[in-house]
Amino acid sequence: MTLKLTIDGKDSLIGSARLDQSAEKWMLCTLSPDEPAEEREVCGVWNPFSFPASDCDPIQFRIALFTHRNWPESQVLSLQEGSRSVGLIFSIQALTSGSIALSENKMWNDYGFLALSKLCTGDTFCHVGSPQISYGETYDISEFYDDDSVVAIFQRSVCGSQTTSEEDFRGYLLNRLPSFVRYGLFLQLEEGGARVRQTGSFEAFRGEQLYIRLRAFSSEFPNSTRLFMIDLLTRTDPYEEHPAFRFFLYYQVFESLLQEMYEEYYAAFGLLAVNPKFRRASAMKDLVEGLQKTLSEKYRLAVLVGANRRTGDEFDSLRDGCEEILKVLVEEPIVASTLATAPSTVPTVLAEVVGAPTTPETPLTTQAAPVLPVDPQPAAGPMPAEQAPFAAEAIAPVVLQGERPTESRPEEAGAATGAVVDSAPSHNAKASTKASTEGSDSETAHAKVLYLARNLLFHSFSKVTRKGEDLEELADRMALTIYDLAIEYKKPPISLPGL
Amino acid sequence: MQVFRKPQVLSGFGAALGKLKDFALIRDIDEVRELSRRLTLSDMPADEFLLLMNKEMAWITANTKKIGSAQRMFFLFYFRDLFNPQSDSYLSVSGSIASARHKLQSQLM
Repeated sequence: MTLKLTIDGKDSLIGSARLDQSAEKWMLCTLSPDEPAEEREVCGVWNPFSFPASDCDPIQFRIALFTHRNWPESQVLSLQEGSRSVGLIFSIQALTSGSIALSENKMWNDYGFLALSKLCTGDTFCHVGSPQISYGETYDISEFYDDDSVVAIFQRSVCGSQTTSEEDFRGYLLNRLPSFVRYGLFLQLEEGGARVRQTGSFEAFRGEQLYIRLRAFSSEFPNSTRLFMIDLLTRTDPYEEHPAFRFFLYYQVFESLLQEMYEEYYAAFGLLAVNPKFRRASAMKDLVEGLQKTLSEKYRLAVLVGANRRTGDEFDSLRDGCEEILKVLVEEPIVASTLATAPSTVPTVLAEVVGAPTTPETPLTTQAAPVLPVDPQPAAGPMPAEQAPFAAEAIAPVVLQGERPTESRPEEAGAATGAVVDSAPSHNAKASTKASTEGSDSETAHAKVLYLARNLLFHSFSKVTRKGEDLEELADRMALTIYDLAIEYKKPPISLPGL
Repeated sequence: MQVFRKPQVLSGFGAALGKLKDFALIRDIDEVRELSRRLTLSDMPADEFLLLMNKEMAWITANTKKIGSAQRMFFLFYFRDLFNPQSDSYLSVSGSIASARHKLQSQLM
């Protein structure tokens, strides 16, 4: 990019910036399209930094701009890749004439000097505006960029000694976006920070925090999901105010991963199906049943969660958030009123959630509207007993809308294989019960609660949109979980059960 | 008392006097000169007052997006409370710190 200044209604591209003799300000010079050799000083930018003593070549550094709503002027953090420091991040205010945030530290002074010199010409792939100025005036650099801009300066070698292009640096940065967004740092890609949402709580900086550790997407994270997430983190999430929409947008990352698993399960099935041992009808029936089981969304979600719970608490916060929101939403009278009218599959799903041992095998859809039959006996299933009562209530609106969860894939698979596939909720009820025997109870419970929350929110969307405040925390927890998942992602093992 | 010689304090002081005059809480600058002779520390030791003021400045430095603007705003609230006869901390140089901080925080947070 190049900084474009509007002077007397005319746009002027800044071609270079040079320090004046007193070193108090940078003089910005325009490019003349008619006479490229002729440069004209149009304005100045205050320079609060001393000239770097060390050999600092601006070409060896690159700049990225982020938006952060509350970045303190005094906050300066190192950017670390592994144990190596690769740059520095600070507020645009730290580059202004009255600030001493950078100038009191020798190394920070040099970074500040370099960053300022590059921002004077707009030397960054990020968004650069076109502010109006008066000819001959001297400005603070913050007057040329958004007030909420945060500047990250990187050593160019960070993306490899062979790479030199700005495009390589862009790719490097996009691949590490979750490390920034988790702290509320949104990359200024196609526009500045004006539209970036005010809401949302992010991971807080600890008082003694000295650096941000940059971590790339996991190498096992599917590329299509990675591209979706980059799009989400740069074009959608920064501007999306409503937490329900944000929750769904982030849930699409799960959907994308589940879709990847679906394809792999199906491929595994395809490989097995040609094996002569499955020529027998009964063997093929078992194989198809195994496929049906694995293709259910809840099964895949449980496998996904199971593969990505290493320390055991990775999804706990999200599970707790889902439980809280389920509790809040089902207490809304208007939701409860819908329970009494629609055809229901409550008994099946309810029994599954509370872990009741007697899951009904037949009629999965009832015409009567049952009054949430919570099993009074302590449940032996995956959900802790103290959560069972409200979870039982929570499940009702999920399935009582007379709609099926958006799960057409098992049917598609069934059609492809000639198998008869039950409707998703009822089929899942059976499959997931068995699935829990393969994964741990806790991971299955995590997956179930997430699935329930997603269904409840999806099927009650018009009501959910009025519950923004309650959802805010859930959306934030979901986002943080997804960031961690993207960085730590471990590909789940794909195998058809019982074969 | 170096802090009161900083430009942020002086601009905050000027803005506060303007507001007080607009609301007819003072007649003119001469009245402020008279009032300043009656300023008290409200039983607070002088060194404690300085510590308190430094603590406020440190909070502003650590937490605000624009330190200079926040300092100006703090002193605007500080002097408005100090010379406002309807304020609880009227003429109390120590008491006005807390009320200025609360107003600043409510503006920034």
